[in-house]
Amino acid sequence: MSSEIKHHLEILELRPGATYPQINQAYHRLKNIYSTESSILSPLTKEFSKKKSNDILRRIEKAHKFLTSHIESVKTNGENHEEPPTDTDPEKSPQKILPFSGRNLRKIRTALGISLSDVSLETKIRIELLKDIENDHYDALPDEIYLRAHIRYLAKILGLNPHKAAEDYLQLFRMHKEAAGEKR
Amino acid sequence: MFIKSDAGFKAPLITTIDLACSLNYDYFVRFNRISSAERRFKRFEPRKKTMIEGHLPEKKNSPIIWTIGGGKGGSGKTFVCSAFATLLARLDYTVILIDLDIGAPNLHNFLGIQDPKKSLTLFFERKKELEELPMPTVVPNLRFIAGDIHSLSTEGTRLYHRRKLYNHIPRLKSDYILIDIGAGSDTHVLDTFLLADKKIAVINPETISMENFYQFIKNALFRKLTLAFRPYGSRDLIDQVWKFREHYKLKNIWDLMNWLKINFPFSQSIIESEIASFRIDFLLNQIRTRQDIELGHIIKSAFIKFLDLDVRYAGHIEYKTEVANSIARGYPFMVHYANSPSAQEIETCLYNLIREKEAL
Repeated sequence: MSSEIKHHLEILELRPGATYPQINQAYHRLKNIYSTESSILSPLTKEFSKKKSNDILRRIEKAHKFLTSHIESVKTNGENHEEPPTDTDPEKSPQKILPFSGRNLRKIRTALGISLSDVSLETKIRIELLKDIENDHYDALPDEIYLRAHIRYLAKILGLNPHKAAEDYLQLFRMHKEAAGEKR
Repeated sequence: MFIKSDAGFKAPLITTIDLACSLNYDYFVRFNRISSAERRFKRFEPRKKTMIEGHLPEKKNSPIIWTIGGGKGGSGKTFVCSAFATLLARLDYTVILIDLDIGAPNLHNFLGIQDPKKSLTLFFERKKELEELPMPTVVPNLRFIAGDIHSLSTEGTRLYHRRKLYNHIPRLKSDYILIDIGAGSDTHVLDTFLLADKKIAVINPETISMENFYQFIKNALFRKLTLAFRPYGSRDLIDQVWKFREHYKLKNIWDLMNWLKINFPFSQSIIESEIASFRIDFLLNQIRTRQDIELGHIIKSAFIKFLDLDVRYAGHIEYKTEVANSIARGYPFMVHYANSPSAQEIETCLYNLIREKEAL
């Protein structure tokens, strides 16, 4: 069983102990690489038949399906496998922390071991702004339309559902704005 | 992504190597009559200590040989080679740098040496032994063997010259031997490349470079297999099978290997051991955007998925004008810009190569 998990993780280019979001992220990344005809890989792909690329894609799909179903089964049965494929305990896993307030987003980020500067580099959002988002400093945040884009970016990096994260966060944001308006 | 400097906030400590480097440099400047204006432009820069210092491997009795190639011309092989050599020398290893770019040697320019008096031509002409050729450079621990700059025809380097050279290189006394091989993938280039303990390829984030790199790897693998089959008395087996590839319906080298495995069962173990020992580390040079860094991971992934080869991505070096400047002026980059961002990226690559790690 454990060797099978290792084999599938290798296909997704992950190390043992990869988390659920990491598996998802790797799957989407690889699928994107091998389903689109990337020009950098054209010297390789033109020499191999279409069958080979399809074969690679099928293996990626299979690995993803296997690993996600394995995690689901661990979650529902609550049983302890001899070697669980993920480091994070299902209780802590990002899917359980709802709604996506700034504080929870920070929790997820720290659980994944991603630093703010990495997020900032990837999303090109200023670190100060990211800090404000995570600390729920609603007054310091930009307008809704910009904020939505920022949250979506942030959620994407953390392997969350961008739509859900943005909706949750904006709901909290609006509630705060309304309360602030009433006070005045 | 970068190695963080421990001494980031302190003034850089000048080690004995740095001091020796600096004295040597003054002498070098006087000797080569570099004008005072140029001297003022850039002085010797002491290197800050970084993470790499704590993870250096122990010195061995026999030299560790690295070759740097990659197929495409102008991808920065020579620059990377000179930078690695300088950095290793500044980390207190003795290094010999050999310019084996037969036909287009220019490594001496990267070390600030304008007119090398000794070169490999003397070795090929049997006037000097290889041990007599290494000449001192600006960096104390670094010695350099110039390419065949004194020959007027590359015909002069015949097969037995090369064989002799390959036998003599591992006998040189040094911790590291870095060899800069030229562009292209002719037999001479491939044989030199396969000689090494660590085979490093420098590529650019472009389709053309990738095309050349792939061609280079295929040729190197083919050459390695041909050489491996020789002791078994089947010297021309692979050549002959490939010659009649239309007849056998072989499209590429992987079809060829499968065909051999099926039809000549003895070849299975040979091919498997050759593939297992065929490892290439590559680094991306002249990257311009963040997307280019990701290309390294894509290339690595494709080589593993399509070809099942052990290819590793050691890191990237960004395109910076200071690199081009330093090359144009003939200054050794890692001496003058020892703490620049590009130098740090080169350090990261070297760190990954030494520690057998991969870029994140």
